[in-house]
Amino acid sequence: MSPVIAIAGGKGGTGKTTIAVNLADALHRRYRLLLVDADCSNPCTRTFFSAAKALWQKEITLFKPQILEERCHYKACKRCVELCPEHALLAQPNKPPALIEDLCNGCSVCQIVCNYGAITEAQQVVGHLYFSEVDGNLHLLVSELTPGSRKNPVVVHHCMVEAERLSDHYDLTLVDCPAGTGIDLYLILRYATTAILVTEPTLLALSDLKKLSQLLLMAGGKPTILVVNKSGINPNLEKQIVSEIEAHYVVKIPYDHRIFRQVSSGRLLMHLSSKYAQIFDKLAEIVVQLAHLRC
Amino acid sequence: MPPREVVVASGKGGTGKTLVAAALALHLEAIAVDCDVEAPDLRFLLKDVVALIAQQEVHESRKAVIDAEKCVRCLRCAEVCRFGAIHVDSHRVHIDPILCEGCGACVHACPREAVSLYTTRTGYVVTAETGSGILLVYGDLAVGGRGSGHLVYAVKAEAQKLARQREVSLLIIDAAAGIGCPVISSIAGASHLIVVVEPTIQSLQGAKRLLEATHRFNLSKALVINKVTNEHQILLLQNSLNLPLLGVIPYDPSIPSIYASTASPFEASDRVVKCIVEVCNRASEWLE
Repeated sequence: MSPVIAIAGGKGGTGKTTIAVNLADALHRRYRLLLVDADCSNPCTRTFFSAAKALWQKEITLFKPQILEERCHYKACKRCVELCPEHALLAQPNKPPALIEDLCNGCSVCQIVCNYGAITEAQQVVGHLYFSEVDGNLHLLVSELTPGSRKNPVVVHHCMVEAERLSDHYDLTLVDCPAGTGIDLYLILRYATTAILVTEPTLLALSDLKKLSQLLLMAGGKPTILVVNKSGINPNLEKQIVSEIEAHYVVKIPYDHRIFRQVSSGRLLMHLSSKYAQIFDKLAEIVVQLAHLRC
Repeated sequence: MPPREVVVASGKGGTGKTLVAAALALHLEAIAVDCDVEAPDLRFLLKDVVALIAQQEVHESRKAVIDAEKCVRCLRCAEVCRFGAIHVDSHRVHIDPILCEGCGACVHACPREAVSLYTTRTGYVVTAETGSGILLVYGDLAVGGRGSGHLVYAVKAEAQKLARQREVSLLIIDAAAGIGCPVISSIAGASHLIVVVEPTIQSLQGAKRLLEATHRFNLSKALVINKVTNEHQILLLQNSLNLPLLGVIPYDPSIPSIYASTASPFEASDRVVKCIVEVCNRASEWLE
């Protein structure tokens, strides 16, 4: 697998996607790049690449039970109801159990434990993967959770397996992570060779960043680049963050209200000012160095 | 009547959920409930935790493990695992603890009783008094952990219990970013949903996805628009989302800068505070 750079933050809205798309833009001039949007709840990288050409899409499905009434011994047996780990099956008088789809996690325990072969396999669509081409050097793999589904870890896992499968065609893989510090992040960070932690100088962001740093250690520790976004709003706290969070490099992006406007309509920061083009060129250089790519 | 649950959510992260939730909890004298269990930050806007009332460990997460001595490598377990957690090398069968969902399919499928489940810590539920005087219940998920939904349910159950004891009729629930498991679990059982958006295409997409994810719930919904820089944005978001508007908070650098220390939302600039008070007053009317 080619080097994988995970862009994470812990707290939501610190600027992960902004960093991911602008870094991708800076890198793809010289390298073949796969940009992966693993924030399946609200994948936003595509809002910056609206002209990307769709290449393929895939459904991500899981098992769900379908109960055959003529085989089900519902009067005498409630094994599936009792053994469902999510309590998604509800016993009913004079009828086979009812499925509460919202709770079904697709594990198929009900089918395994049924003694009468009364449960067959149906499918629930928990998400999609979309693959598209921005240009010859930049491809985009976007994961999307089906609204209402709780199976975000399954979607993230499938997304990363697909990214690994595709990665040989690229020099680098960049992954835009969801907010948080839970299993979704673990499923991504285990593949990462470098981590970019995007934060802002607020107590909230620092608290979440500490949890994320612990997770990074659990995932084996990685060369880390700390990106302090909205730099300058709280100088003392900023110093504290830089000293408390272990990172090999620190890159700062100054607080600038124009960034909000630029990002809000899906535009890249290099078009805002050459200052930002320089910042992302520098970040790209560090990434290339850590990934041991030829310059 | 059980205390009512009002959830603040957004779809996209960083739009101002925690700001709105803290302001509402303070203004309406509710119990504050932080269900963003992967990144719980609500306490910082309530002048932080000053006294712990209770802390409870939740052990709802399970993982499977194989007893290598009983295993005959028939691979039934790997065949039934729907989460790709079981793999084999030349010596033995392995269960990947990161991928294992603890459903027990492998336990039921194994003909030799070689697989068993063990329980792991999902996280903590903490009940505390904050420096603002408001009571807070929050969840703190184990780093890298599964079971955010189970922890959210435990947090809400604890908050309900506390509300009955203290005779508080309202819970203000701060949800996680996104629309995944912890968010759906936060909203299940609630009566009201406040959607916080900012005038960005990313936030609009997130809010639409949130509404799609929650349309099957029986909920009253309303909108707060944050980080507004011009009037045009208000109309656009209102028309796109078609929800009653509780209020508008302007884009203002004083908001991120109050987060340098533990401050309440009512310590932002005067024009911001005026708008936040208006949001709270309208929310109060809407909840009646």
